Amino acid sequence: MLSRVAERLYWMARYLERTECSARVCNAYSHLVLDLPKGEELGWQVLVNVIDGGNSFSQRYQRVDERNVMKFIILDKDNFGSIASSVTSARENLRTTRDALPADGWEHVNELYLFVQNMNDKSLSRRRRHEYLSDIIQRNQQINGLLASSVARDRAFTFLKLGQLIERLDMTSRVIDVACLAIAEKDSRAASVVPLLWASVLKAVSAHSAYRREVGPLIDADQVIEFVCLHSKFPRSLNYCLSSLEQVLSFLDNNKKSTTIVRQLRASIVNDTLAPDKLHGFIDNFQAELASLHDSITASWFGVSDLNQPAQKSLFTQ
Amino acid sequence: MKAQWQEYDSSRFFDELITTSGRSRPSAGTVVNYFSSLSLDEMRQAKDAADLVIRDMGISFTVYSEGTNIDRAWPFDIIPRLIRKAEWSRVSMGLQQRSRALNCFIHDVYNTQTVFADGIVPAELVLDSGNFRPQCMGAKPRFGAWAHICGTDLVRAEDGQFYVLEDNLRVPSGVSYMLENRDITKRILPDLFENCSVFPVDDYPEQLYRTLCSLSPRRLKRPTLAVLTPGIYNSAYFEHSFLAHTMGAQLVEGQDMFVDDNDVVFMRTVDGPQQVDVIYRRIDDDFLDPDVFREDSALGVPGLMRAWLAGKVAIANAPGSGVADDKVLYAFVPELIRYYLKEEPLLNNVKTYLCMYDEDRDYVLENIAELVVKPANESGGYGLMVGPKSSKKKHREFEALIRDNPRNYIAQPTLGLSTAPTLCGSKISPRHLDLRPFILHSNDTWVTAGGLTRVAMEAGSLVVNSSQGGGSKDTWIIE
Repeated sequence: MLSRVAERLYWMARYLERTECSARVCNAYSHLVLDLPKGEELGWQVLVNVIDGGNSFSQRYQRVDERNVMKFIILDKDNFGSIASSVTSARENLRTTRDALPADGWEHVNELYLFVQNMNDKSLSRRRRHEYLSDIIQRNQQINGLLASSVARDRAFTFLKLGQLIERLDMTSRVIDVACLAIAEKDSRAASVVPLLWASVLKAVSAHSAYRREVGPLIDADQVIEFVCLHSKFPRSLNYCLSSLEQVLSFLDNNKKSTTIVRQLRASIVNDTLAPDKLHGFIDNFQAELASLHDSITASWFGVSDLNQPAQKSLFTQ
Repeated sequence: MKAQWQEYDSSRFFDELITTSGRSRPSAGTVVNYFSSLSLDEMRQAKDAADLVIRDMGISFTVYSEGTNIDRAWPFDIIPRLIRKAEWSRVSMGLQQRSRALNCFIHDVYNTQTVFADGIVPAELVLDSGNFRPQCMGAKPRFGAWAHICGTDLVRAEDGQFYVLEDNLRVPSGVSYMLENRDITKRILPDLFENCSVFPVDDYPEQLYRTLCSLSPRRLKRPTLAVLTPGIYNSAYFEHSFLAHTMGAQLVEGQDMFVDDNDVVFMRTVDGPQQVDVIYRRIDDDFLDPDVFREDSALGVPGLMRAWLAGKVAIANAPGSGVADDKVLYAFVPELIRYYLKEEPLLNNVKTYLCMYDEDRDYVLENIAELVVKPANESGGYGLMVGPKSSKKKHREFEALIRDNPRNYIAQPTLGLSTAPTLCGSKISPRHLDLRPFILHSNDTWVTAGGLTRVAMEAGSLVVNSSQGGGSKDTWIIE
């Protein structure tokens, strides 16, 4: 497979995963806001932090309110990390590589693109937002279903999987980090709402029902963190994603450096580093290592890249 | 006959399906009867079904306009154009003959140049042409084959004879639409298709694959083929991707390849560099290699010419092939056939007046109102004047142009192109058409069964280009 084609498939998968994760985070947060009593609001800055868009947001918006933040994360085409931009980039990457996937692949991505193009300010109102975001999530699930059931386990699949897993690791770790910081800022009087906050973290990474089945209905900060970071069978946990990455990398030659990074990352997630006082430092380091894993993948298989991915840098270092 | 066939006028030009007296031509009976039995609603349903197939299969061509690319659905007319097998065999032989002679000529120009020494073609006419590439001198591609893929435009005139309009030897396109048109017909008119014995066209990708493999410098069971495209913004990108896909070849852009110090071409893959044996290029000579041709080209591969001249990679069509794709040279093709093959030309050339010759020029200036005047080095219908359809002022303008630069102009009689029944709104009307068969040439020569028929959708119009609203028809070669 051509390096260029592999690279584009990798980025397409990253953008799609990012779209789905962002939609989930927005939905979970929008629900949370309804449940929080007056005076206990977290503010909308939290969401901007989750997608790591602080500077880019403050350059263009005066007020950090629901309307602006939702616009910024979902529709803002000037925000490289927005859902609208990610979907556009995913489609652009697939346009020239569509032969690598079953014909439906292009159709689904194109339809997702048309769907997002047709969204406007009205789609962001509280009444409609949930439906639109759920639709975006469903469309992504449809694409993932197609990949899982109809794509040969060849090079194309390998690079799609790499992109998807790395983006998932990036988003999940960021959600945990931002949530911890935000919750820590709340004073002890707000103790009654803390389980609500942690429940929404679980929802944001699609882990709520799995957690309830396995741990039970009582939501506890340490257990949530452990579940999302360490669980060996939940497909969005950091541990599970890393183990999948290791497996996917084993299909490729020249994988030594990347595999080493993945193993180190996996070894670094232990209960000790997940303690509240160490968590932020751990995630900072985790994200830096993810960035070097991306660099290693680029160097090993994409070679000299003159692809100009708009969000290539901003996804890691905004 | 149903109402939509009333007033069908087949008396003014040669019609492909209907005689001047309004009867169906021999062997067109089944098709004409079939369409005559359909109501307007049924025809529209068939047309809608065709449009749906086109949308679903994503058959499109790209039109660049106002800074954005629009993928337009491929325009298709449901009534096929028919040619009898016996007639096609003769045309096909003529096309093969032409292709052989043109390849001999290109090889001669870049090697011994006996054609000039023997006074068949004036040397300066070729050597001063923009299509001559001195960088190709001395090259000896395998089998002496240069123009491996040729798209020749044919028209049928009032006398019912086929004439060659031009030979496209650079990067002719359209073959994927020929294949898709057949697919559409099979889907929407299976009952009609079944009742006619139509020669298949879908062996083209296989034949192209064989032709390209035969050129490989390395003797391998499966050489590495690459289709070199300028990228997604090219109007024929759909076709590039289609052909790569159907041949199981890689669709590459210039940036995907490099040439090493041993003149070997590689493409960059996730498993490391992989040697490329044959490049089916869909970009012009100018952009092939910035080291040799246009320096500012980002579409090509630096060093590609070096690799080709060293015989380490085959390029189809070979660089420099365009030297035989020239409106002035066109006039000499019958002579080239006699000179190289010692055969009489089987296909008609349109009578062509070269304004560089005094006698021809005088004739053209006297009869300019009856002639089509074309600049020698333009393509795509640019700077062309159709005498009978132009004003006196325009005639004067072209007379002046010809006097100023006679070398740059040719003239031909205005041909009345043949027509075929075409669904236009609620009526079946005659529309002008042409035909582009594709000829493959390496150690052997092969011609498609039929080709791509293009139709001018406006009444009386002769413009068949899809970018200007032209349509297309499936072309059936039948017993």
